[in-house]
This record gives sequence, C-alpha cells and structure tokens, in this order.
Amino acid sequence: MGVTEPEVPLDDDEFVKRAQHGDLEAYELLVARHTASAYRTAVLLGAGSDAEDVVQEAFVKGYRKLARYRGEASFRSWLLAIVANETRNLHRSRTRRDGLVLRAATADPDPAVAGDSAVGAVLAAERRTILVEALRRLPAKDREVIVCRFFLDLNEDETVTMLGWPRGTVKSRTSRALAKLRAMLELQEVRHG
Amino acid sequence: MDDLERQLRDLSPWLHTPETPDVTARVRARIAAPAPQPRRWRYYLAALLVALLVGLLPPGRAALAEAVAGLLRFAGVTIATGPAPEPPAGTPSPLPSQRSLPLDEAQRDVRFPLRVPAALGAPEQVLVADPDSTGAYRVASLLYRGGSLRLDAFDGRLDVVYLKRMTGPGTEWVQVNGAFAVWVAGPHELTYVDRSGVTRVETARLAASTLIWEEAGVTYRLESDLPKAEAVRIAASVW
Repeated sequence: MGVTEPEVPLDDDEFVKRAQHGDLEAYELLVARHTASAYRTAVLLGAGSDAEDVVQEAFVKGYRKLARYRGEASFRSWLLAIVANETRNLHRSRTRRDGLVLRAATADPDPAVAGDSAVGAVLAAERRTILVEALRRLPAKDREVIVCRFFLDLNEDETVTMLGWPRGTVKSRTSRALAKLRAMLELQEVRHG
Repeated sequence: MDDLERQLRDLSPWLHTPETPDVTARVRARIAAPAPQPRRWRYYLAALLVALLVGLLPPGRAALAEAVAGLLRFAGVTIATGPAPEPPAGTPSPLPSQRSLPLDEAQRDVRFPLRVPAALGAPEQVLVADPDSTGAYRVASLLYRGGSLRLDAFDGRLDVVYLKRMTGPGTEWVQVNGAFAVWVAGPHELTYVDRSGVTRVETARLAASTLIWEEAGVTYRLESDLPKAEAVRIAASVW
C-alpha cells in the first residue's frame, strides 16, 4: 500500500491540546511530524514550486485557527484541508497548475513512500506514463479526490474533512473520476491497438 | 479493489515529490511574532476618519465606532460587535500567573511606565499577570474601591491583549487629553488574549462600562460603574 505516513499517532491530540494553550514547542512538533505529508499533498494537488510556501502558510494559518479544531477529524486531515485550500487559493492567483510528475524512469520507487507490498506490483513504465497522462487530463475536482483516496491514502472520513465535501459527493465523485479514467485508458488501448 | 484502483495505488510511489523542505523554523518565527497588528498609520487614519465624521455628522451623533465597522481594534483591544454570545458561565479564572505586588515592585517588573491616576491616588491593591521568560509581567491592574474600579495597563503596541464582545451599539469615541479614546457603555464580554494570540476562554467574564485610552505607548483600560464623564476625568489625571 502507498502509505505516506504511519497511522496518525495517538499523541497528536496531546500536542494539539498543548498547542491550543499556547505551547509553541508542541506546535513545532506537530509541524515537524506533518511537513512531509503536507508537502506531498501540495505537490500532488499541483502547487509545483510554490508547494513550500503553501505548506508554510498552511501551518501558520493552522496555528491561528487551532482554537477552532475540536478533534472531530484527525489533526492530519484537518491540516491537509488547509493545505488543499491554500493550494486552491494559489491556483486562483496564477494560471499555471503544475501537473503530476513521474519520477525519472531509471529511479526506483520512493522507498519512503512505497511499502513492502508495492515491491511485487511493478507497473510497466509505459503504463505509468499513460496513467499519469490520463490523470492530468481529468478535471481538477476529480483529480483531487483521486489524490486523496489513492495517493495520500486517506479513508473516506478523512477525504470528507480534507475536501470539505459531503460524504455523498466524495463517493460519487470517486466513482465518476474512476469511470472517466477507465474510459480514457480504454481509448488509449484501442489507439495502440 | 479492481485493477484500476490497484494500478493507482501502485503508481503512488512513482509520483515525483521534491525533497521535503524544513519549514519548522520559519513557521515558528511567524507564529512567535506578534499577530499582524494595526499599523500606526492605520490608527492615525482611523482618527482622521473619525475627525472627518465628527465634522460631517450633526452634533449628538456620537456613536461613531459602529458606523465605522463591526470590528474595532484600538491600542491592543479588539472590540467585536455581533449577535449575543453565550454569557460566560461560572467563575472566571484570573489572568495567567496573576499575583499581588506592592506598587513600586510592580512598576519595576513591567516593561512599560506604570502610572497612577492622580484623581484616584494610591491603589488598594496591585496585581500583575502573565510574565514572560525573563519575569517581566504583561499586564498590571490597579484596584480601587474594593475591586469595583479596575485600571488595567499594558503595552498595547505589541499585540492584542483583550477581546471584547458587544451585542449592540454602545461603543463610542471620546477624547482624553485631546487624544482619541473608546468608551464601551454597559456590560460586555471580556476575554484575555494571551501572548501567543490564543483567546483564553476561561478568563471570559462580563465587564462593566470601560474606557480605553493610550498614553505614551501604554494602553489603559478603566473598568467601573462610573458614568462616562467621570471615567474620562480619571483618565485625564494619569500622569
């Protein structure tokens, strides 16, 4: 499985509580713990070279909004919602949206991202290219839900929090996005004969 | 899980993410710095606007603050006007690490000139609260008349120290020694905002009428059941 981060550690809540009472060190720990996940989210949602600024801004806003976090969702998905929002703001202020980029063909899959079980399931390089091409052509909202469910490995609850959509929308958007991808891939296969 | 879903999951590690940058230090620097503050020019601009409005409006139309905005920031105090909030329940906690000190010690242990209104004379009790790591206190309170009259002083140039919530009109600009001040008439919710910008809900309480003014960079907050003119007279006697 493409696990980006270990399951949300139990003590996030403890640090959140301390940070809510003004403990900067506790918040700094949360920042360190979630930077990788936040950064990958910003990149996969198309922030490109601005991903670093997006993440920094998201953490600062997260701190200012922390009093409103009531623990109804995991801190990670609450934070990623802010990252997603900052990335959308970025797209509003510029025309370019960076697409998904494959690692260099010679490179191995990112060991920090790949789990053991991924080793056996290697896609042909050509197949990966086709898949990424198809993903780039998906409408932004369809791509967002795919990124959440398959690349960030968020469950349905977390995806609801992160995208701020109703559960029904998350479900229907996921199946619609998959159907669109399937259709694009079949078209490719027909062309390649 | 069908084939496409499996392929998507398998694709995940192949998607390029540049090396994660370390943003911890920059985030810390930004959240440790005072939250964005009303700049001096804004304060002067607000005063100028008020002066213009005073000139334009017929006499007697004094409640200008709500004409300007539902949210007023003045010298380290934010006043929000809005629907009735939940009245603070129970006994509010005092300010963080609050303690009683003799006046001269309190004057030494704050980072701003702590002055006393001549109209009131020596306070019955002096409280200081919320020290920083060097032991300098952030807020000093002078208590008179068995605590029914309270004068808080703090450095209002640094960050917001108090949040006030009003349910209706009742905020107006007044003048203290020719400078602008804010008069909040009637009971309102008062909450302390700590050093990191977090509003301390546990300090929430209903405050009596309050006059807020600024003198030499120090913000004073006089809370009492006195009428406005009397509060202004006391404020003008701070030296």
